[in-house]
Amino acid sequence: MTTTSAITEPEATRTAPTSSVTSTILSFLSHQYLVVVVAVAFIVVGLIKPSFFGAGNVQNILFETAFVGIAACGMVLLITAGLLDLSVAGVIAVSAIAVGMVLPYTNIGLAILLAVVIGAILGLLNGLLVTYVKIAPFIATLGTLYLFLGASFIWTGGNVVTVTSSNFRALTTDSIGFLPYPFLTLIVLALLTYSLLYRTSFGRTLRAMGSNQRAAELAGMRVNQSKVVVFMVAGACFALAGVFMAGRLSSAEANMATGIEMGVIAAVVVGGTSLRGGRGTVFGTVIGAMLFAVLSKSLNMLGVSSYWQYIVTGAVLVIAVAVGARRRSAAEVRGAG
Amino acid sequence: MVDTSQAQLDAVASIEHEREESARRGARAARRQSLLQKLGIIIPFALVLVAGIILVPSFLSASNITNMLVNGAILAITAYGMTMVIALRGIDLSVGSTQAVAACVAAVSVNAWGLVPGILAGIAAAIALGLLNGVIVTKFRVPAFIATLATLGIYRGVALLFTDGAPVMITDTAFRSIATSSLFGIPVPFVLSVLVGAGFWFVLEKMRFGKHLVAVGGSPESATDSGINVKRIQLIAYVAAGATAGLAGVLLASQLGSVNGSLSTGLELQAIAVVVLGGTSMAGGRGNIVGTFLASLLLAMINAGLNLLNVPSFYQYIALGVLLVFALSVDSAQRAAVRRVFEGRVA
Amino acid sequence: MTAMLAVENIVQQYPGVRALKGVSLSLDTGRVLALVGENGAGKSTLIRILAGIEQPVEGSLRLRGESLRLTNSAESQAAGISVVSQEFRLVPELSIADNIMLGHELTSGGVVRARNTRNRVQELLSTLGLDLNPDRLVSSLTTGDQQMVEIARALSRDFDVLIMDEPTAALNRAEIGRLHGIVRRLAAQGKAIMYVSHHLDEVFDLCDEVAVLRDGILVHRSETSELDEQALVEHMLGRKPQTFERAVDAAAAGNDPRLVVDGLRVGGFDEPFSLSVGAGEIVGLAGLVGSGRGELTRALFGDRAALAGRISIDGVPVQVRSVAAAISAGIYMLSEDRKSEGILPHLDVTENTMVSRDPKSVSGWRRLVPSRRSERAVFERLRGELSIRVPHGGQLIGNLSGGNQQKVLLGRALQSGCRVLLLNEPTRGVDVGAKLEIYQLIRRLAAQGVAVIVSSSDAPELAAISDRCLVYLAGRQTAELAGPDITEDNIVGASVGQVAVGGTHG
Repeated sequence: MTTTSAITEPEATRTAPTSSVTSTILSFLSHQYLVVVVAVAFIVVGLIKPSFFGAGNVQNILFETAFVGIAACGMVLLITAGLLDLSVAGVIAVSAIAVGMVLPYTNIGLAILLAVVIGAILGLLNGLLVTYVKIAPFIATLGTLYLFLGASFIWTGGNVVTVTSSNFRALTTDSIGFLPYPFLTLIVLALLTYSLLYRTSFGRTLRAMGSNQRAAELAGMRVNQSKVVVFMVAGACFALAGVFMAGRLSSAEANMATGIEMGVIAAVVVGGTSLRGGRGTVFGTVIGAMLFAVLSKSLNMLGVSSYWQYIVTGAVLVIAVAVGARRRSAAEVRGAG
Repeated sequence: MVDTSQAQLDAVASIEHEREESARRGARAARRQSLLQKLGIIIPFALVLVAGIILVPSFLSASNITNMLVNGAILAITAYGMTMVIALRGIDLSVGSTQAVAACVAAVSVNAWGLVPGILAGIAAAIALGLLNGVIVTKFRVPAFIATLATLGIYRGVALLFTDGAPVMITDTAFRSIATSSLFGIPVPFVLSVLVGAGFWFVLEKMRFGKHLVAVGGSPESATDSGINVKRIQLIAYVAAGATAGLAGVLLASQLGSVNGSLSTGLELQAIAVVVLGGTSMAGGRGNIVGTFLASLLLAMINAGLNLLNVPSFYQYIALGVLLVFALSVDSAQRAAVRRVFEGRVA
Repeated sequence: MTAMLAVENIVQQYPGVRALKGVSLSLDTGRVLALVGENGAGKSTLIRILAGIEQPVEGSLRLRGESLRLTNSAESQAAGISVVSQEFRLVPELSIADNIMLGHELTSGGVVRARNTRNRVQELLSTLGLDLNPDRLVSSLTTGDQQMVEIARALSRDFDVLIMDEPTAALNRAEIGRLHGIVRRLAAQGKAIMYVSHHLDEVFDLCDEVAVLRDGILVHRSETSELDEQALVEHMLGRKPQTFERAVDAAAAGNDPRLVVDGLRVGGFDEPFSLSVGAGEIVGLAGLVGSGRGELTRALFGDRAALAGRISIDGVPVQVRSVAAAISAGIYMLSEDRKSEGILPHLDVTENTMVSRDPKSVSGWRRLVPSRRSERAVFERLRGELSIRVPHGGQLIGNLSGGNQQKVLLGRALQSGCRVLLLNEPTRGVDVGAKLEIYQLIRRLAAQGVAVIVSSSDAPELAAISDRCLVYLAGRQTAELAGPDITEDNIVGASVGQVAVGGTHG
């Protein structure tokens, strides 16, 4: 609980500085109703299919949460700044393939570093297109999504790159207790993301430009540079997700993450971050990622066709945004938009 | 005290002068914009055509020309609806999935009920999906790009569920011959794309709806203040986008003879690329149907040329990405040019 | 006789501001009613309500004695109310003809009847004396012609009530004359007309009756013939002109010039701008729409390209190619549009004051990771100094009143460590009490040696706070007022080019 309350929203902690523990918990629950939703979904499915509670399945859920969640940490920064990146699947593919390709020739640390640097460079390209060529983020990154995927296909010749290094697989899939390394990485990354967003000048600039870009510019904030940098940071996050996915799958290919952008955006939005920007909820994002992991594993367990996952993810995304639009229209933040 | 009347006269004269000056600036800005808009499509079109003829063997063969015309026509029909949506400052990312649903529904229905009911069922399904997009955007106030990103996934799931992931062979030969037959030597899909294009052009340029559409896309506040029902216009545009994606899907099914749930993946990118390349601004305003038509043919030429040169299909992704970035750069350069002229930074 | 259109006890409220406090007003057939009042008196709000764009909190409307409810502009138009709004509601991508007929096109079966439309529009344009091709795109028109198209658009509808909100702001003398002729003819045809204007000569020239709004209250209504200009101004101000306490800092004008602008050319204006402001001096910029004062402040702040010219601060030439460059040179600007260019609604008031903080005031790594404790302390100090009324520094800025928002933004400017402060419409949307506090704050800032430029359309405001006042018309300086010459009357006169005061008084 200590970690979670540290990364709730500032106003959540601020609204009740003097109140008792119970009211803090109540206020926490009312703000984080999503936690309840996830817990209820988890328990209900478990009651129907007891094997759902099995250690293997719980670990699967945590792995799934970690992949989407790590990418979503980058995405929440972008969305808070009023931006978006649809090229997640492309960045994941390129960086995972890079890891697979270089692992036989170098050590694990350098391979991971290389992947993250590649992610940042791809992010740089997105950032330059959005900031200086002035293309709308969703369309620029939709273009680069196919660009990166095309590059991945060309690089691999359409084949699967297998990851043979057992050390790499161990590093990316082992656990402490029942917590897999990727999930622990997610927790650390989420704490870093939160600190970046709410404790640094850079994060302040991101929130300011998401809140009111013109005002941020006229306040002398370095909006353009920050845009490019946040795309790079996000690219690095996506690449990190790609590294762990490559380890888990023991392989990398161009199609390995197709369609993941929707799950990542949905996790951020379901977590309570408004697409209009200005404010990001990192803790909600992690829970959002967990919600989709639970949903997807539940559908698997209940024997529902995997095609339903497209439908469920899309529907949850639309509902989350629609509900958010309704709630926020009740002037939660006055003077916004 | 200095005499006042001279200062006053000077001031009036300078206002007059300022007005003439700004009229000239406005005219210049309009000229520049329309020039950039035309060059943005005509130069690449000519370049690709010449390059194709010189570099690509059998580029002008009858079969390749037919192939380019049919592919260009199917893309153009999809892109007409997209033109309308983008002119409204909206976007429809779900066109590829909508098209897949339409094609699968048409294929299954043609097999079950025959030619005409099959075609109608396919288009009706697409219209329903377009309507759903429109409702999500207008009634639930979800931003268009996120709403249609979600329905992109949902409709893809629907298409895959509907076909159970397996290909559907179309047995009806009459249906399969639609896309391959010709009228006076011109492929039927091409004729259709010209007719549908002419219809869209007429609606946008000559009808009340078209004026209202430009108003909503160019200046939504003005449109509301003029008593235009903005949401109704938006809803109709999304339905039109669904309908054209559906019609194109039916033609595609006819051309391929066999469809599956992952048909037309990534189509949204091609559609957006040709719309923007054709001169319709992402910032909303006037939709350019003729430009969309030409840009569709251009993209079909590029794809056919790369195919004939045996370039792996992955490179077509890259070509498309580059084309899109080019089109969007021209679009934003155009807006910047106009802004510069108005700020008086250009002599 | 029943009035054509009557509003009864209309109340309208915005966050922190009560714009209309129970206004009742009626328009009669065949009469031209002038609605006058200072900026912020509630004229625009009343018009927006009649246009159906806003719905009042309380009160009712009656048309020919029957109760009327307007929930959108289509209903207002259907009821026979036609509005010429102050900000143009034109679609740049459409032609003149399409814009004029937008929403009530001449069609058959949904198809626009192009020839009929063109004839109809041509006819309208020629009654307005406009020689324009109806097929021209509106984006290629000058502001003045756009204004005429906006008027033509209002006239093209079927209406009984015509409301014109400052229709002549961008027109020349001949056009104004023609417009007045048309308004008189419409009145003679039995239309009821409401005419809003800042130009008092128009009011006396054209209008039968005059109604005065002040701070959201209708304070006067009478026949125009019963008043003279002097009396009307007294009603608008609520006092005799020129009684405001002024404490002109005569010494400040003698200080060394802090900001010197020489030959600054701004796009859209033929003449370059030149001015100098001493340390501790408050210089007012006055002028109507199109005078260039707004563009001037933006060019000084690097938000708009300057084509040529030199700017120096304390004798050191500075380049302001961007906002960031301007701020690091010691220039800071607050926009007239707080909502879209000032406040950061998702950030609390503390963060809102810190976003432009002078990096030199914080050391080393604290620039990257600001100390919350020190920021809180700084804000607490500012809260006291600027008397910002917030319960705590964690309040979101959007929930504050206009005046408190403006104080937070002034705090932001203070934190930037600026030596030159440019203020655009510093008290727009601010209630009277907070207005005076903001004036005092501006004075205190100046007393600390900041060179202050206040650009305002509020003449009494400039008369109240400026040590010197420059008046512009269409980019040209028409007057430089100083000392006792800075009166509301002189400012208003010089901004329409009617009274000339050459240089100093005497």
